[in-house]
Amino acid sequence: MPKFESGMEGMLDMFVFETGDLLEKLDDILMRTEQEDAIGTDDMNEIFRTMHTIKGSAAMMGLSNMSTLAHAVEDLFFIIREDPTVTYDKPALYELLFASSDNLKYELENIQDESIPLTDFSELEAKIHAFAEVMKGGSAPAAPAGGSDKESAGEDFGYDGIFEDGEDENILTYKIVYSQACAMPSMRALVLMRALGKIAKVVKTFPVDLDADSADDDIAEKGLYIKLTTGSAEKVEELFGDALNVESFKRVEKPKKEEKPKEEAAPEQKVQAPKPAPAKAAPKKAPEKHEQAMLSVKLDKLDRLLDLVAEIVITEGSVISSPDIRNAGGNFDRFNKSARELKKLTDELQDVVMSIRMVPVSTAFQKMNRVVRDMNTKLGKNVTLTFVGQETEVDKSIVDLLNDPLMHIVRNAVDHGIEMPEERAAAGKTEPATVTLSAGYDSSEVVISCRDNGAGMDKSKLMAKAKKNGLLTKPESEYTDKEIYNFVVAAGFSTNEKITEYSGRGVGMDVVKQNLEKVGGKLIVDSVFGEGSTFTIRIPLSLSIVDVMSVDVGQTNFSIPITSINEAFSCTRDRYIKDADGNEFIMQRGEAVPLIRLGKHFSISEAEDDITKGIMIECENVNNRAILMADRITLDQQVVVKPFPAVLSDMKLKEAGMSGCSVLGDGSITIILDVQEIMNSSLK
Amino acid sequence: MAEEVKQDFSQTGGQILTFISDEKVYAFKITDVTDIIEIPEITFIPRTPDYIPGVINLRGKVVPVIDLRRKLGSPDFEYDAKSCMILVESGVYQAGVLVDRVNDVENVIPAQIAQNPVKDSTESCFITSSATKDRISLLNTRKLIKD
Repeated sequence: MPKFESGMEGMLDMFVFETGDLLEKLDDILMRTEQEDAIGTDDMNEIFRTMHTIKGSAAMMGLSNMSTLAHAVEDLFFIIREDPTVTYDKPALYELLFASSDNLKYELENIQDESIPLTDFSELEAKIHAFAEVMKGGSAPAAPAGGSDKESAGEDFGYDGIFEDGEDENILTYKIVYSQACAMPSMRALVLMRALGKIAKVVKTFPVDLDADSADDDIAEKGLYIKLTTGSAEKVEELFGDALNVESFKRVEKPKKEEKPKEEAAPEQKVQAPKPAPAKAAPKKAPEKHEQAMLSVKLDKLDRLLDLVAEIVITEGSVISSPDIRNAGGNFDRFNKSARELKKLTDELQDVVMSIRMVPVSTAFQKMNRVVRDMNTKLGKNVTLTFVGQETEVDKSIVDLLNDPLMHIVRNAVDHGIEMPEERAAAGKTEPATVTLSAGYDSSEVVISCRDNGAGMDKSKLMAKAKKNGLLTKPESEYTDKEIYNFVVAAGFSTNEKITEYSGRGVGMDVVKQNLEKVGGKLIVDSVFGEGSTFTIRIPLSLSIVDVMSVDVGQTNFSIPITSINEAFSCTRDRYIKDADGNEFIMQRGEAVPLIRLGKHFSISEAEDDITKGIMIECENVNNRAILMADRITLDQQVVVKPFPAVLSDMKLKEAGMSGCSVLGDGSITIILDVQEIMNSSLK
Repeated sequence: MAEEVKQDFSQTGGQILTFISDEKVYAFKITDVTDIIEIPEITFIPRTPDYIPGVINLRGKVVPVIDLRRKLGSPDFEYDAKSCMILVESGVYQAGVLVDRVNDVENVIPAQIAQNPVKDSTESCFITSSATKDRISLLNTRKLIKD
């Protein structure tokens, strides 16, 4: 059985996206209100609205389990909102709320997998209901659930004027009863109407207005009546039979005797049932107003746009510098003027497209609040999480990528880094235990760091452990502090004696490191014993358009990102040194800088050998400096980095120092170099 | 998955594109072929196996080239004006395959096809041409370009 209503597949993406977003916001509010120890009216309404929206959209998708759970939470808040003086067990309430939010999130993740059945939330729901009962008991005795008195109405239709006099004979009347578990029958009814539209003409429904606030209760109480004309009654009945949550449907004949149904109170006035129907509608309108300025777009459309802009930039270059124009001679003042205009515009276009994809890292940071909160409850460490520079904007793809690494690092900091309160007191630490997440830019990289003021790492302990695990590759005395701290992220390395729920298996950090490296990122560990540790993530700003200097080596064209280049120069023989082991150096400002011949590195036989004829390019990154030698510089340009084709993906090109390739304006192809990797593999 | 498709082909038959490399007749299923082009300028990529002479720019897309002779261990050949590059696709993998020359498109029926009993080999089945009685080796596209 499909998990959701047929015909709703197209809405699935939107549903997952929106609901995920709402749940994030909900978590934020819950975290804040839990800390402030008070739920303001605004927050209350916001939570209420969120749950209501989730309930509604889940019901529309036919996900009854999600919608009933959301409904249960909504009920909880209804009680609190109606009677702000109600007393209740706060921690327990938050536990329930977070559990609900987690369960909903989990369900969202699995929604597309047909093999995982819908989760049964009834246990959690029962807990929530029980809690709600306790709350109700604590406050004034709530009005007993009304409305059930109508159930015994029997054949009474419950609505006025279902059968009018002189009605067309062809009009069929159906009564549909939705199951009790269906949270929003009106929503289901609307979906059903839409499906019906294809095979039948709906003349009238009862309740008349399915959008009305009272529609839910009316349908639940009295059933839904549909009057329609159709060519195929079987098809209609089949559709009713297939629709979700429909308990029963039957064709209703016009009663022989025109008996006016009992004149009951108008449905609107009957709504004193537990469901706060009229109250729901009001807050629902509010968010729409200020969300109109935002538009959610599928990411792959943006990717496509970025690709196109990149192609335009490149093509523009090839048009403007076309050899045809250069060879034509004559006066090109006007052409050059237009070309400059065009360049300005495309530059601006590029900036705008890039900025569309930029989102603040706060979205990734905020999620950590939750992680720390949960761990505080479990471990009793009372850690405060603070943010610095959370407004730093990075490409959307990077934010998505940061979630996992951050989670591991923050867990690690709270679990391993921060000591238990007693230990802190014993060590004379008076400042509160804090984990600080900060974000910022450094040249072409995004730098995200996580600092804790915990115990720090003991170098000798790390060293002993590394030795025990056989991770040492050189004599102990030769290891620098940095190298020792970086053992922490090696596979199977955990200094925690105990394995806890959160960390200690030594797997997490290794995976984090590998995942970061896949996208050209780095993970750097630093620590001061007794004062705390810092984990720093550096990821290149995912700008697919980069400024490069292109060089020829033999017949092959390589491009070096400008950001890694210090300077390019011609070399004289007296600056050249070759040591006894065959290592080559160039004297540069009084220092011997290793020389890497690109021709030799890439085994290109026809490369220039003579150092005085080639061109030297001094490159530098965080740890290393080296001089790359190429035959000649061809030009400075902007290129769009494309990954190597899938066929070449297993050939370790990245490890050899080639990060991708790029098609130039004249149709030729250049290889983009990764200076860091070249240095790593050459300077061992 | 590739296996299934191949099985299907030996049962259903279909159209194949035949071509010659080192005097032998080979074929790709026509559904794997996206284009046949003259040999464009090939950009060498260091540190790749020798049967990959480099990559080409196919309308802004970078596509790797596979020299069929080298891949199948035949002697090198001075590709000339008659030589072609056949662009093939299998899932996400795309490559240009250098061949001596392209022959024809043929329609084959199951009776002409003999399955290669060796599972997952580069030549998935042997086909007897109805017109020329040539023995044609149908290449396993996925295996040829990815493994």
